[in-house]
Amino acid sequence: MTNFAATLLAMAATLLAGCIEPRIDKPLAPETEPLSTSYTTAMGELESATMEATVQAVETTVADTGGVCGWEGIDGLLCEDASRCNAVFTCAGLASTTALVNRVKDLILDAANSDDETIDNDGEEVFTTPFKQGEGFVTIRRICSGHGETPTVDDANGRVVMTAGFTNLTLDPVIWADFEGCKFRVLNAPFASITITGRLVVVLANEPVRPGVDISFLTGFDFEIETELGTADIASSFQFDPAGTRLLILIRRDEGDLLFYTSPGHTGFLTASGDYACDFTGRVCTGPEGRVVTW
Amino acid sequence: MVTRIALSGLIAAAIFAAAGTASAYHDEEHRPTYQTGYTLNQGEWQIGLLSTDVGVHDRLTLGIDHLYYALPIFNAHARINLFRDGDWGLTISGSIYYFNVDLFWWASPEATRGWLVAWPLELRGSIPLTERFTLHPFAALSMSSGKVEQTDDAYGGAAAANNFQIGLTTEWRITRVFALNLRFRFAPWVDVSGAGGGTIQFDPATSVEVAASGELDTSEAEFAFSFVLAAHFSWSWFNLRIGGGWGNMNLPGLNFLFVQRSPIVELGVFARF
Repeated sequence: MTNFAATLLAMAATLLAGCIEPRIDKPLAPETEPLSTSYTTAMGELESATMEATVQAVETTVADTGGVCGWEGIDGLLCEDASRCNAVFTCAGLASTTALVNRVKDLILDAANSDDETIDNDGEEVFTTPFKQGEGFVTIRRICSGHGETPTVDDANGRVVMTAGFTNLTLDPVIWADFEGCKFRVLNAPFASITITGRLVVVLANEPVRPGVDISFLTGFDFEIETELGTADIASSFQFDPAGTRLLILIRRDEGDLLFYTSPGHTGFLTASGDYACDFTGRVCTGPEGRVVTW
Repeated sequence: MVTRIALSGLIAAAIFAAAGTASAYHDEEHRPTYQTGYTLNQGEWQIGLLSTDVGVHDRLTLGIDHLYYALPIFNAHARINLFRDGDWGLTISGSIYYFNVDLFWWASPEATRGWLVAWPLELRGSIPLTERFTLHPFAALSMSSGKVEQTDDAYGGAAAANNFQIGLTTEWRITRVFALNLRFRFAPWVDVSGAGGGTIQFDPATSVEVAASGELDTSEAEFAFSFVLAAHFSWSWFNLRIGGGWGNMNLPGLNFLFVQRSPIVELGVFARF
């Protein structure tokens, strides 16, 4: 009997060892916690003594970000009403990000063969799938159109590889795109062709991080951009708040980071002590309890 | 196809029966082996609609589910008697089933290849209560894995389905040739998981790769159960088992559970000699 049992146990162990574990190798999302934290934690403070340098930092950062969205400076971001602000905010990056997220959702739902787009689960929009738990990813690879006047499909043009992870309930909070020497032509710019190498990261989150501000899309990028004018390394980020129609841009400073914001009729800074509304023509910012900073 | 297989089985049974010694059924020398803790005696054959078994030793029965070969699912099983003492019995059995999409030639696209392997394990006991009543408890663990992929790697996937079942058959031997069986089967654990993905070429410049893995929501199949009441007739070498019940049907041998509960028909025709 012992031999019989041992034989059977050995057989069972052999079969179990050959068992398939259905799984996938999900790409690891890039670390975004430091960037997200920069938009949520206490920041630096405005001081008249450093205000000139601070405004210059804003101008530089906005111009750098303009490489993606077409903003050239603070003046380009000032908007008096919601419709004009929306026109400013609906830059290529934000519009494509929104479209991208929606497209990724569609792809996931198609893959899950789900009839319903979303269901309301404790107030959150989630996927409806036949899985009680699951995960996956979508990777979109697009060959860039090249520097020629006519777009071509050629590996030599470089490519963009966008990756988004998901669970059976929702998208993962980080979507990222790697620009691998992506070449394309640019219209209405001082240069005709551009080559981008680097990474763009979009952080999706819904937790309110401060009154009136939701992190809906926090976009950061670190690019090496090559044009006929030269090569530049540009790293910047911005956050769009659709609820408050407010655009936030992180301003890095040795004295402490600030968040520059622009919204309908208001432009200024979010600092450790609160909200400063600024008049960049009059070179004055007014903060909590009537505190005034000039430059 | 089923009818043809059944007829083939019966003809084969008749041939073997003519060549061998007829065996009576409900007695101590020829105990029932279907869902019990017993094995065939050495040299005995049992040929039915679904399976063919042979007792190569008093404690070892080997067999195949020949009906599945028509699909074709290659398979074999072994049943080992671990303990016996009078009407007491304990057996453990293991099976292996292998299905290859390439062999599923009448339905499989040429560009698809894949396979499925299942290996159910069962532990069955027989506990005599009286001269006419016997309990046959069992525990069964069924595991299966499969993989399918397209030859151009456009899509592919793997899946695993596992379940654990316990159950009890109450056998009431009313006469020497007639017995009533009441079977209860219960599945406290069912697990179905899978992983797969594919690549879609949207346009010459854009491709989309989607990959996902997940565990299927089997809440409807967990705690699956079934009741079956069956009458078992044994006239010398010929046996007929017929009955009905309700619950989650269980695929014989493979132990795959049907998610939807439905009426269950049990039919067994086999020769033992």
